[in-house]
Amino acid sequence: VKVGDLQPAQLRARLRGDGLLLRTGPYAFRIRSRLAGVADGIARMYADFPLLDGRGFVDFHVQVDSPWNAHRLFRPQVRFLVDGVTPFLPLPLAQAYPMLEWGLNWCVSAHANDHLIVHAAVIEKGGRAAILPAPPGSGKSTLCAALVQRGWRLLSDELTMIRLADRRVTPLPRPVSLKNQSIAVIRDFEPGVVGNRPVADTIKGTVAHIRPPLDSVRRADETCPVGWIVFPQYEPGAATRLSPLPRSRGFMRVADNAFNYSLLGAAGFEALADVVDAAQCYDFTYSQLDEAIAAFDALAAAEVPA
Amino acid sequence: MTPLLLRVLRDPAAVRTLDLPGWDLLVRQARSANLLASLDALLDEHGLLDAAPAGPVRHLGWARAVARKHREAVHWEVAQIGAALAHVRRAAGAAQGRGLCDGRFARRARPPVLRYRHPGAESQPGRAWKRR
Repeated sequence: VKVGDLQPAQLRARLRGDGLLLRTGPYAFRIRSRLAGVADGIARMYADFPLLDGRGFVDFHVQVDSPWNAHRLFRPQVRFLVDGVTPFLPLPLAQAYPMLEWGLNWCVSAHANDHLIVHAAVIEKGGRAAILPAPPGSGKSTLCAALVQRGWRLLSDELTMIRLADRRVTPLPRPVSLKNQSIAVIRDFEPGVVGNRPVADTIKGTVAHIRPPLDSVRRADETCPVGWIVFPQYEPGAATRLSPLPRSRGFMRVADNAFNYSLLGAAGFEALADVVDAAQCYDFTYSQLDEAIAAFDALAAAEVPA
Repeated sequence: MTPLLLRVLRDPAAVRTLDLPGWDLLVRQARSANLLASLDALLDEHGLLDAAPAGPVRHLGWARAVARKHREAVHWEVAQIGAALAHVRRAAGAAQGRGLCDGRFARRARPPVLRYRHPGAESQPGRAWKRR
């Protein structure tokens, strides 16, 4: 049974009651909320995700609600709770859905220490993963959203999970987050994409999410090794340029973007060293999505180096 | 009713009877009580981790990684304190005009603790380290 099989009223009832139990990648979440924005967002974004019954083990019990404080009278707020703990300050009520997504990311990035977790998009083609680490504004999510509309499999748009046990990437397919101009860019690029209503004035500007491709959700259990580490940089008017990067630089830049690199200590260092050793590292500048996709497809088509 | 976590801390073998929702509750109680890593160590000590289902074992492993990091941090800090104290001993020996400070002088060397901030640090009357 999938989330999309529920009628809107059933979905709302579950969210208000014992919670909606859904699985994303290896993790089970129980989501509770009385907010219409959360129910609508989940219905649009998670339609293809498997529902769980209540007899299993749930990794994270989360809740998104509007607290009963003085703000409620003139400027209602929303807060995110995981097992009754609030890791973030409240946000304006209109940001309920983005807050759910950020909260789910936090649950994974703050706990899953059997993985080296890098703040990066990660996609797969031909059995190899491309990691796209990059600071905000580099066009990482835009590029990732475009690539997964053109045959690349979405593993994650935000959290690259490198399993310490075998150095493979564990998929965590979830909605892709787009910001500001990239919302219109992706709408023009692929009009058929399912997105939710953009939310303005968040800490990241205007934010919208798009539904992950069905194939990515279905293959959420297929891990894969890392083939490439590509640092994207969007530059208006720039020619498409893929330039090799020394592995040492690639290593440092991935480590800079890792959430739990220092917590893992030697285990994290060794895992990342193995991944970087086996991968090719590149700097990538682009302005045209079609050209960018052609460049990535050429990478995937090339022989695996011996 | 006694909370599940408390029952397991008293009698770790009680986890053998837990179903998955039971494990779910146990892990959540242990995490909120900041005892998840302790629970992991306890179950390990009693050889009960092998019997536990994969989901909870994964959470226990996550807590183990954090506990390991804390332990390393404490060891590092203790090593730094040890190095600092060794330095104080040598300084005290040097101030007394002795080149090397052996064990005899260690009794007289005082770590530089400000008495007014740590009233309990020096308790022997007449031998207190004086603020200048």
